[in-house]
This record gives sequence, C-alpha cells and structure tokens, in this order.
Amino acid sequence: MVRVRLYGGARKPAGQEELELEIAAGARLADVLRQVAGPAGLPAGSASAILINGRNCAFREGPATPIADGDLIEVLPIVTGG
Amino acid sequence: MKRYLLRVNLSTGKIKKEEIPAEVLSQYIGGKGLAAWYCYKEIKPGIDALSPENKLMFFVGPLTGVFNVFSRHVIAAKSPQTGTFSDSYAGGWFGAELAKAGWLGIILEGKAKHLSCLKIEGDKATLEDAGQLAGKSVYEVDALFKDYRVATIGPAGEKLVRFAIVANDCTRRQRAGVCGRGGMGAVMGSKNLKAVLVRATGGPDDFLPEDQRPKVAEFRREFVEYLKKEVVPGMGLGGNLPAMQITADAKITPVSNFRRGYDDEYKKVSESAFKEITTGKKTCYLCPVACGVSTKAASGPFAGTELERIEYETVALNGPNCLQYDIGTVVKIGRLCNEYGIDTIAFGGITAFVMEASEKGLIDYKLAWGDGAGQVRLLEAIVRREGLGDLLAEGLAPAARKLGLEAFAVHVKGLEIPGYDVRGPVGMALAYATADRGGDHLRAWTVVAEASSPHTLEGKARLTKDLQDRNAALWTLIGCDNIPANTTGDPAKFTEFSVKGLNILGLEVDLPELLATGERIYNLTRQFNVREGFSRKDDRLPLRLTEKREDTGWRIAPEDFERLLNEYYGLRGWDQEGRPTKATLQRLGIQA
Repeated sequence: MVRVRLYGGARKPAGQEELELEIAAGARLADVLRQVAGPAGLPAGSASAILINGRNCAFREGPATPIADGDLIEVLPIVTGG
Repeated sequence: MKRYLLRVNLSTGKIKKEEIPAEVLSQYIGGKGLAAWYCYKEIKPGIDALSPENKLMFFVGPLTGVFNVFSRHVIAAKSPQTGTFSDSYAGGWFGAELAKAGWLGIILEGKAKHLSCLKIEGDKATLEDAGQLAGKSVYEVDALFKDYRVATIGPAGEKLVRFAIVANDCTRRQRAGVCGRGGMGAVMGSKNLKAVLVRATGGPDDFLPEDQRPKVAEFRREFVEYLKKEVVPGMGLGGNLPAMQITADAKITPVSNFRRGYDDEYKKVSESAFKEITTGKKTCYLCPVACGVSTKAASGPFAGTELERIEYETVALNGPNCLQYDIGTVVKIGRLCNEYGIDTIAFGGITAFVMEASEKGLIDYKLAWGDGAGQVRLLEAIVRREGLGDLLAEGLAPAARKLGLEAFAVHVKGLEIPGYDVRGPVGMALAYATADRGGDHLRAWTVVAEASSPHTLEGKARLTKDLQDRNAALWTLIGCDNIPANTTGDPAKFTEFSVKGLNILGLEVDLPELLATGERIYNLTRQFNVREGFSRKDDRLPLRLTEKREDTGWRIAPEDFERLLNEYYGLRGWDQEGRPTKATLQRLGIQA
C-alpha cells in the first residue's frame, strides 16, 4: 500500500487530495501515477515536483524510481507568479 | 533612434555625454547586458561596495518607452549586501521618461561632497545641492518634484543601510516602482546622491524616427490585444497577490522563518482579503495590465494606513514568515519600508530571524512572533541604526555571523531569499543558489515551468539554465517580469513579441541571437563574481533548506544538491568550481 497526496491544482486528475493504493511488486513511480490519473499518467503541466518520502524524485531515478510498500508520494502543482 | 550614455563624476562634478560603442550594443543590447558589461569593465575587483570606487549604473533598453510593458529600468553596481554584481529592476514611469529624454543609461562615479541630486532635462544634466532633502522619505521627495520623474532614496539609503532601495514615481496617479534588492539605495547614499530627476522634452513619440511611427503604433495595438487576452487573466488582483493562495495550495509559503510551508491563517492575508481593502489599481507607462494594487488598512492598530502598491513578497515575508496575520500591520510594514526606503523581502527575512532567535532565548532583544508593534519598532531601530538595529542594518548574513546564529539566517550569498520554500520544487533551489545577485527567484522562475521539464536532475538543471539565459536576454530590453511568469498562454510568445519589437525598430536580431545574448550576459555576471572570489563554495543553500521541514519533513540533502550543481555546471560549461571555462568564454565571445 502507498499513499499519494496531490496538492492544489495537481489533485485535478485524481479528483481528490489523498489516495491509498495497492501497487504491484516492482512498480515504479510512473506506474503509480498511471494508477492515479489513468493510462497516460499525469497530464503535462500539472506537477511542478513529485516527492517520494519528502525527497524530490529527480534525486532518485525520476519517473522510473522503484516504489516500495509504505512510501508516501506527494505531487505539487505548478506555481505562477514570481 | 540613437540613445546615449550620461556619465557623471560626483567627485569632480564633471558631466559627459558618451556614445556606447556599436560592438558593445551589438553584443549586449541594453538593460542588464550593458549593466553587466560596464560593471565588469569599470568596477575594479575587490573594492568596497560603499566606497567612491563603486559605480552606480542606470540603464533602460532599446524598446523602453516605445512599446507596451517596456517601461522598466535597471540599477546595477557591486552590491554592498552580497559583494556580487547586482541588478535591480523597477516598473513605473521613470525608465520610459529617461528613454524619451534620449538616454540609454547613466553611470555615476565618485562621491559628491554634499548631498546632491542629478537633474536631467532632455539632453541637459546638472548636479544640484540637495541638502534640503536630507532625511526626507521617498514620498516627500517625489511630491516636491511633480514636473519630473523621480528615482530617490529614503533615510535608510542616507544611513547606508545595506538593503536600502531606490524608489520611483511614489506619489503619482500612476504605478510606482522600486529597485528593491541588493542595496542599490545604499550605494546611492554612499555617493551622497539623494535623487535622480528626469524630464523629457517634446511630445511622447518625438524621439521616434517619423518613418517608424506607423509600424510602432500598429504593433502597440497588437501588443495590447495580446496582453488583454493572455496576461490580464493570469494577473488576478495584481501585485502577484494570487501567489498566496497558490503557494498555500502547494505548501510552499514561508512560515515562521521557513520552518514550515503552510499555515491555515494564510487566508487572512490572501488575495481575497486584499480585495476587501483595495482602493485602486495603477499602471506603468503604456501598459493595460494595471498590476499596481493600492490598499488602505480598514481596521486594527494601523487602520487608515495607505500603501500605493503591495506585492506578494512583502506579504509573505512580513506576514506568514513572521506569523503576522493582521492585514493592516502588513500594509503598515510595507508603507514604512517604502517611506524609509528599505527592501521588504530583506526586512521580512531579518524580522523572522530575530523572532526565532528571541523565541529560543539566543539574543537579549525581545520580539514575539506576530508582534506587529514590535515589527515597527525593529524597522525604526534599523533605519536609525540604534542598538541591535545598527548590526542588522549591515544585513542578515553579517549580523547572523556576528551573533553566532548563522543556522537561522535564511539567505544565499547574503541576499535574503524570497517567499517560496524550495525543498519540494528543487529546480527553484538551484535557481536560488546560482542566481547571479544572490538568493533570488526572478533569474529563473522554474516552478511555473517545472511541470513541462522531465522530473530528472538533467531536466531541473537545464530548465534553470535556460530560464536564466532567457531572462537575462529579456532584461536587456527590460520587459515586464510578470508576463512570462503569469501568462495564461505560452511564455515563449513574449520573447517572440520582444524580437518583433526590435525588428520594427530596425535592429536585426533573431530569437536564437537574443537567447545567445542572454547566455553571454549570464556568463559575464558570473565572471564578475568569480573575479570577486565567488565559486562553488558560495553556490550554497541556507542550512534551513537542508533541514527537514517541521510540517512535511521535506528536505534537500546536501549530497543531492551537489549532484544537481554538478549537472548544472556541466550544462553551463563551467568547471567543477563553478568557473566558466576558457572554451565557454570563447564560444560566447567574452573577453575576460
């Protein structure tokens, strides 16, 4: 079981802020995102950052990062402004 | 349309009109580019930023005063806050007036014997005694010269507070502007220069060659349509105030000196709360966007306080970051920072630092979280340089060092970071660490575009580099920052419009050339900093951002950040110490 939290505008594809999902053995981040948002995964332009247990997935293997039972995945929306 | 450089030696009183060499214009165009080139060429390495040897430079760009949203100006120098090259930008009407008077820039050298002001009328300039302006606020100075456009320092600049600002157009019907970051007001104060006044002569478009006017008019109409359709809808109330809701949604609002990234109370200082106290909207020269939000505190201890322009950064740093949720107090802090002439981001960062140190009993000074009257007292102590205020007036980094409290000082290279926690969107962390003027969000606003970059190290590093280069290119023209960051359409369209504007004026630049200019400039400002001794050791995140956040547990591990930095240096063509290699400088045509 993994928990997925989607903040602000990033929750749109899932329709809710928090989900708990069963994942297959060997699942990767991209697989989990497809479970959340459908076969195409997260729509382009919907996430500014994806964190796995508080660490940006870019510091691991990006969308190919292996996901383990008990992981917390957080998806941050884009932020206009500046 | 030829514009000139005004060189003013404040020590000797000598004033000179200079041509800018054609090859320099071709390589660096205007604005940031010229500021970088002249700073690199003329500011001797290792000088004290507050000595007469520093030079204070104002520049506009080739499109300034011609097309919509190109009304901004830049002020640049070696920063007394960071010791780096520093460039700070302001909207309003001053820049357009300077351009219409026929000037592309001003270089101020030396130090005047007495407090002075520079008065520019068309192509004539004079230095005048300004003793009667001593101690006056930026509002008081502006109101005295209604026939001019005025860029002025307040009392803080005169007192050499290292994060003093230069403000313009403060008491007009139109939008005011502030060159807020990096302490340009302190450099101006160190030169005994209180204000620059400018008035163009002739009609609004007299400076344009007659044969260009019809095409210019036509493109202005096209520009206005684009702005109305793709920019106005993204601006919300203005002042970037929608960012409070967006950063709260993304859990990246700075709360209690960046210990947390979310607080339910944020709604009290959100865009909708500011709507309730908005009294008007103001606009820069030729711009239909009207992003300047004027407010008046309706209740609370500072009811009745008016502020002609408020921005998200002021609110985030002096509001949630100090656990201050009385909207009137935030308005009051903004107003006082402007009156005295200090940077609201720096002041908010410093206040939160003092609050945390006070809470932990690490300093004698008492300042509780959310103590509005205490925030006002601290501000006045800094401007008067009294007690702890005198130390804090030197800036957050040196004050924290002296107090042995560096762990609580949230800055990069001495510049307090703006209102976004970057432990989640790490491209923005790289942007803070590698911004040429220190901890800054505007050189690369990655969080709007991170979504379109791959979620990989290479993707984050490339995005940061590309945006830094693009913005350096756009700031040769000094277009509005708000547009690429807030557009509801493709940000690239603004760059394309900018190139079209140049072509209409007969400047043969295409998009790849413009972007290459941006990369050249970013490497030249890096070279300035390398010459000052900056290297990899300075491209650091504040300790706080490498610690676990108290609410979410997010952090950036130092070893992760090192890998991101390696990726970035590699893409830039810099060595592992962060120095541009000879091959890179040669490729970009930089003679270092």
